[in-house]
Amino acid sequence: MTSENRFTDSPQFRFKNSRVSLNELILLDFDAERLRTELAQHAARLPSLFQQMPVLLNLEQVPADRPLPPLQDLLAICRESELHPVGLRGSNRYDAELCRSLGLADFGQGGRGDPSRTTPTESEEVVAAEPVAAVAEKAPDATLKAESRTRILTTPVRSGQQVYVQGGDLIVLSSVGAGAEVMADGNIHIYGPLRGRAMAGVNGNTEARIFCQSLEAELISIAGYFKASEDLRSDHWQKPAQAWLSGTRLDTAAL
Amino acid sequence: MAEIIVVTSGKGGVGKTTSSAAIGTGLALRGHKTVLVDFDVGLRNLDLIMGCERRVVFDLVNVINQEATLNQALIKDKRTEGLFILPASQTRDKDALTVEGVERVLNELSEMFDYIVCDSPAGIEKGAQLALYFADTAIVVTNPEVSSVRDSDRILGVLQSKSRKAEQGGSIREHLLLTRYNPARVQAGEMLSVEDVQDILAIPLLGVIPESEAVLKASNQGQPVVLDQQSDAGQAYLDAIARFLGEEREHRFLEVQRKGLLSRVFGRKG
Repeated sequence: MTSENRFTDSPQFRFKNSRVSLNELILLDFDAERLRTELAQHAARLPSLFQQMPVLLNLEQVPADRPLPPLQDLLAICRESELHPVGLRGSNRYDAELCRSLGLADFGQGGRGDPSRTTPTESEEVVAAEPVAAVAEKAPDATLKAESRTRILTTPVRSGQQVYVQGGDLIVLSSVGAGAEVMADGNIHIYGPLRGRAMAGVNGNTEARIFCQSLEAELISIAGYFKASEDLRSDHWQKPAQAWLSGTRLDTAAL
Repeated sequence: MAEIIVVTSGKGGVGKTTSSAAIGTGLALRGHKTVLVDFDVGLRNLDLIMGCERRVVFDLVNVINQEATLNQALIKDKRTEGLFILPASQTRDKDALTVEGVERVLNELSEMFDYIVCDSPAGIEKGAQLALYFADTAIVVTNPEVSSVRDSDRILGVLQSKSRKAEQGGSIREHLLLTRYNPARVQAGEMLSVEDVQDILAIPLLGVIPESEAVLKASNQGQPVVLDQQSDAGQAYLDAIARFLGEEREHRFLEVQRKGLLSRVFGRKG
């Protein structure tokens, strides 16, 4: 993946399409003092998470009649809690020129204003954002339930189907067909043959694992590190197996 | 209320129309009033297989656009009592179909028939989606070959997500019909076995239709293969229909036959 300048006349840059998962800080209301305290409380509970974590400020759910503070003040509150806002969603509440001058990217109008969207409390508990390669588009506002983020599927995942579990594990009690794609921020357990693609830890969780009753996958990936079918046809092929990440190497072993 | 059956596959050329014709005719032979609806607008074939192409005046699109009544468009089969065909239009395309129009036609047919057999076009786009949208039961036609099995898996996913039953939180009854099965080639490892296909698709097996010269002959003569009751394919379809109606029938034609009674009609390599 690294590009080394082997020749003196090689270009100085190249563009590469990469998908990065970003946490959104969704403001539901605005009261400067309360926001400051709530963020501080959160930071105290999860200090590791707030170390300059890049966030997308989402203002779409702040009631339209609620006055917003000067953008500079809002950013200052975030930065006090070691958050690093990189962009705005619902930026029509502020002057575009101002956003630009403060170095914030405009992410446009993202959501449908769904009131059932995740609260900041929940979304901030997601593990810190890290670059993820080869992850398909995911639903922007999958509703999270704090009680159980694990999803259990009892029917086969068919070719062409895509399942993504945000912030939890995926358990499939049947097969995952060739051409199907299962993804989870956590672990993936498949109690049947895995013939399609499985991607665990898609938000960058390198501790995630994949377990299956019969390893026949097209591709498996953990936190963006992947192995294609060709490299999987080893001793564990068509046998119960698990996959995990040791450093940057994806390892498989019999179960 | 009629039971709506969609005959579908994802992949083209696996025998959907042949199977639709055979199943529709078989159900009518068993005394159920049945209509065959050709959803393959623009690539009208069912009327050819049923040998009624010369009697097509109005078609499904005419009925949807209310340019003709159902009774004007329905063609009565001359060989089998209680069997009707609603042909597709050859001059239009799938955009001529609308959800509301199809629903209205199927509701009207529902009043008149016991079974409505919808012959789906290939693919997973609008035409195929409309053919399966209102179905109660799906018969997924698959050849023992990897690309066909993969496409069937895909269409099973579509059945589970894009049908009205699925939208209402229910599910469509699914049956697997394996066609063009050649036990000799399975034995030689050139073809997937019944077990291989069932392992991948994991739905109940309705029948296995052997690869047979009788099918091509029947198609070219415009006569559904079930009417050729001497043929292995015809018998296999009749078995499948009996199973569909809830009878127990052992699966036949799964083993390599010794040359003998069936050798006349068996053994054509595709």
